[in-house]
Amino acid sequence: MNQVSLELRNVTKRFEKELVLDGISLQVEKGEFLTLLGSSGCGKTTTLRIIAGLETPDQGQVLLNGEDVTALPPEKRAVNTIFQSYALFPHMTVEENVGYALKLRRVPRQEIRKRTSEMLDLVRLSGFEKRKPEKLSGGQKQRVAIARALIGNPGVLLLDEPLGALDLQLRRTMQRELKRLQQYLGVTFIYVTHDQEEAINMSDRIAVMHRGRLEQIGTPDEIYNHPRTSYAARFVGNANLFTGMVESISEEGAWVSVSGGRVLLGCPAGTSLQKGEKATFAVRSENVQVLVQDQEGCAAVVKEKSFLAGQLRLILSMPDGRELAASRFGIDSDFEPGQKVKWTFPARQGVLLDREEQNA
Amino acid sequence: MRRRNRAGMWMVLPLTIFTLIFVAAPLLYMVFLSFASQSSSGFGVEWKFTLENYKRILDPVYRNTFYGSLRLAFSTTALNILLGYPFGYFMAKLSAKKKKAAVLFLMLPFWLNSLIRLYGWIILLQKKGLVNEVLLRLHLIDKPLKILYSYPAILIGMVYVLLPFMALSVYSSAEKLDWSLAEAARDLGAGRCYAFFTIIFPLTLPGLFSGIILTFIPSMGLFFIADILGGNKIVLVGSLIQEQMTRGNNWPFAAALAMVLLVVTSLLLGLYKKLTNSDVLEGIG
Amino acid sequence: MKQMRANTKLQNAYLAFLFFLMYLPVAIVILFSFNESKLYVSFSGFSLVWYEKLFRDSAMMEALKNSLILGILSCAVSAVIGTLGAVSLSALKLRSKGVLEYIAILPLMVPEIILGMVLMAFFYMLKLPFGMLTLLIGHTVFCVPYILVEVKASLALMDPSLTEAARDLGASSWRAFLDITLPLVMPAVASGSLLAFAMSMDDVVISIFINGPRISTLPIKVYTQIKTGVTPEINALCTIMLAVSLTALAVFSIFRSHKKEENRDEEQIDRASEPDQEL
Repeated sequence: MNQVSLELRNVTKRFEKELVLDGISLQVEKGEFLTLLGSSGCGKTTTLRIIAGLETPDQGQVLLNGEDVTALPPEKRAVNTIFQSYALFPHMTVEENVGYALKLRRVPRQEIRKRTSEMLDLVRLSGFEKRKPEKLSGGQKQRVAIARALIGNPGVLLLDEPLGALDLQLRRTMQRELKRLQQYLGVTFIYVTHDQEEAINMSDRIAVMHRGRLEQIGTPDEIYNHPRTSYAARFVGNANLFTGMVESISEEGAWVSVSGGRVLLGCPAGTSLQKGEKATFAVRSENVQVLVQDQEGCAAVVKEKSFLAGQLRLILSMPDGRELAASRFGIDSDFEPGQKVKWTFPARQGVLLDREEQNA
Repeated sequence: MRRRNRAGMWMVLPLTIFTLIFVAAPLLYMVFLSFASQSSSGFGVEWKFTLENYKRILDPVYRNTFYGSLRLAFSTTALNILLGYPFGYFMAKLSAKKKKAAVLFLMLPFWLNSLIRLYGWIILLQKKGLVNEVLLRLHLIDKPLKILYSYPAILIGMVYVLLPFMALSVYSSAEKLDWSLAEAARDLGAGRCYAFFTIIFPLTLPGLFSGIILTFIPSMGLFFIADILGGNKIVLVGSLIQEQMTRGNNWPFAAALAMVLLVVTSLLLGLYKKLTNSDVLEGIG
Repeated sequence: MKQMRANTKLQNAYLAFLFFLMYLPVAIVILFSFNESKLYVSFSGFSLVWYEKLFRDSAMMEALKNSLILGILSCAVSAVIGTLGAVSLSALKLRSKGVLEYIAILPLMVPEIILGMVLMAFFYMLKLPFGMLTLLIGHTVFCVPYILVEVKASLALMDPSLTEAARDLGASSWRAFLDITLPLVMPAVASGSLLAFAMSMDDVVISIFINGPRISTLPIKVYTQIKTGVTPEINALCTIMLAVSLTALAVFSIFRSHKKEENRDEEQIDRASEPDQEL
C-alpha cells in the first residue's frame, strides 16, 4: 500500500449550534486525486478549510504525512489551496502573485524569478508575468491560481470548486489540464465539487458527502455502479430507488415485490437477504427496460416523454403513484404518454443498498 | 476560528481603548455631571446628587432659550425644505453630465470652512454691502437695511450652511426614482401635480426625512452662526452651554442642558429610524 | 405631453440661482482679498497687500502652523486607529463589536457643541493641561469615525479569501495584513484621512472648548477676528484656506476616480468572451 499523505480522524465541526461536520474520517494516499462530492451545504468546503487550517475542528485530528497538524495555523501547513474565487491579489502582477509563497520563505530574488517562470510555463501562461489579475480572463486567472498554489511544492493541493465560474467548454479543457498537472507533479489533490461528471472524469476516488457525513468513498466505478446509500445512488447518476419485501430467494437472486409486480435482484455473494425482509435497491434509468404490455414485467403507465441531450427519457407512473425514469439513446420510441406498459431490468443492474440505510 | 480571534485581538485594541476612554467615558461623565451641584464657592463641581440643574431649565429665562432655539431650528428646517426639496428634486432631473457637475458643486461646500462662507455673508449684508447696494440701485429701498446682526441674518446663515445637506438628501432619494412610474400615472390620466404628489413625493420621503434630521439636529447646536451673524443678540441653547462652560462656570448646569439637547437629538434619530426603517441617513457616505 | 423627468426652463433657472447664492459669499471673499481698498463697496484695484500683511502677522502664522500640525497629527493617529479598528472589526466575530462600532461612530451623530463641552469637562477632570495634546485628542475623536466608515466600506467590497490565500501560502496573520489588506484598503484610508483633515481644518466648535488660553488654531483665529471686526486680512487668510481645502478635495477625488476606473476595467474583462487557448 502507498504512503498515506493526509488523514482525517473523526473530524467534527459546529457553527453556532448547527452540526456541519459529523465525524469525518478518511485517508488519502500520496499522489491520489480525491474528490469530495456533494450538494451545497454538505460540509465539503468546511472539510477543505479544516485541512487548510482556515477553520479549527471542534473534535478530531488532521494528520499530514502522519504528523498531527490540527493545532497548526494555515501558514505552517504544507498544504495549499485554490479558492473558488481564485483570490488573486489584485494589487500584484501575475509574477508577484505566483512568487508570493517563495518571497515569504525569503528565497533569493533570482531563484524566485526562475521558479516563477518555470511555473508559468507549466500552466502555459508565459508572457503574462507583468499583467495585473484584472487584465486576465477567467481561465487565465485560474491558471495563475494554480501556479501560485503549486510553486511551494505542497504535499497536498486543495481545490474548492475551482472550475465553477467557467463556462462548460473551458471547464472541460481545465479538467484535462488539472489532471495532467496532477499526474505530472504527483501532488495529492483534494478536489471539492458538486458536479458528478467532473468528479467521475478526474478522480481516483470519490467521497460522497451528505449533511456533514461521509456517505460513501470509493472509485468512480464503485460509486457509479455500486452506490451503497440512496443519497449516493440518487446524487451520482439519478438512480431510481425502490423498497420492497423479499418474496423468495432463488439461485438467480432475490425476488422482491414492488408496486405493479415483482422484480429479480441479483445478489452479490455475501449479502444474505432473507425472505420477508425489506430491501432497498437502486436501478439507473438507462438500465430500465420498457416493454409492451403483453410481455413479462411490472405494470406501469407512461406519464411523460422527453428528449434530453440525445437521450429519450420516459417517466413511468407506478400503480402506487410513484414515478420511475427510463432512458436510452436515440429518439425513436414506440411508447406514447397514457400507454400501459411493462418494465423490468437485468437482475445484475439492481443495486442493493446498505441495510442501515433502510432503517434510517 | 479561535486562533484568528487571537490574532485580530490586539488590532482592535487601539480603537477599543480610544473609544472607551475618549468617547464613551466623557459622555458618561456628562450624565453624572448633570446630576452634580455647582460648588458653593462658585468654582468647580461638588459631587452631591441633585435634580436642581434640570429644574433650572424650566426657569422661564432658560425655557425661553430652548423655545427660541427650537423656533429657530424649526424655521431653518422649514425654509430648508421649501428651498432644498425643489433643489434636490430638480437636480435629479438634470442630464447625466450636468448632474455630475451639480453634485460636485453641491458637495464642495462640505469641504470649505463654513466660517469663511458665513464671513462672505457678513461682507454682503453690511450696511454698505452688496445686498443693500443692489436693492438701493433697484430703488426697492431708499435707505440701507440693517440686516446684519438681526434674526433674519441668523436665519440666512443657518439656511445657507445647512441647505446642501437637505438638497443632497432629497437628491439621492429622487435620483433612485423609477420615472416610468410617474409616466405610467400620467399615461393613466393623472395631471402633472397629481402625479407628483401621489407618486414622486411619497417615494422621495426617505430623503426628505433624512434631510430634516440632518438640518434640524445641527441647527440646535450651531451657536457660532448666531454669534457671528446675530451679534450676540439672540441666545440659543448652544451659546448658553458655551457660556455656562466658560463665563458662567456652572458645568453641571451646562451638562444638564447638553443632556436635554442630546435626548431631543436621539428622539429625532429614533423617529427617523422608525419612519424609514433604516439606520443610514440618505445622502451620507 | 411634457415629460416630467426633464426640467423646465424655470426649474433650471431656480437651480442656477441657488448655486449662484451658494457661491456668491465665497466669491466675494476671494475677490476682496485682492482688493486694494479697505472698503467693501467696490473693487478699486488689484493688490496683494493683504497677503503681505497676513504673512507678517506672526500670531496668524503661528495659528496656521498649529492647525497644520494638528490636522496632520490627528489624521495620522486616526488613520492608524481607524484602519486597525475597521480591519479587526470585519475579521472578528465578537458579539460586542456592534456596540463598539456604534460608540466609535457616535461623534458623527452627537451635536458638536456637546462633544466640545463634554471633552472640556472630561480633560479638566483628568487634569490634562489644555493645549496641543487636548486638541489632538479632541480632533482624533471626530476624525476616527470618518476613516472607520471609509475603510469599512472598502473592506466590505474585498474578497475575504484574499487574506486566507495569503495565510495559506505561508504568511502570518500580521504579514497578510501588511501584504494584502493594507495595500488594498490604502485608497480608502487616504480618502478618509483627507476628509478627516478637511474636518480638522474646519473645526471651531470643539476646538474652542479645548484649546486652552495659549494655543490658537486657524479657524479659531478666523472666528475671533470675525467677531471683533472685519479686516481684509481675513479675506486673504480665507482665500488661502479655501485653496488648501480645494487641493485636499482634488487629491481626494483622484483617489476616488482611480478606484472607480479599476472596477470598470474588471467589468469589461468579465464581459469579454474567454479567449483561452486550447491546449
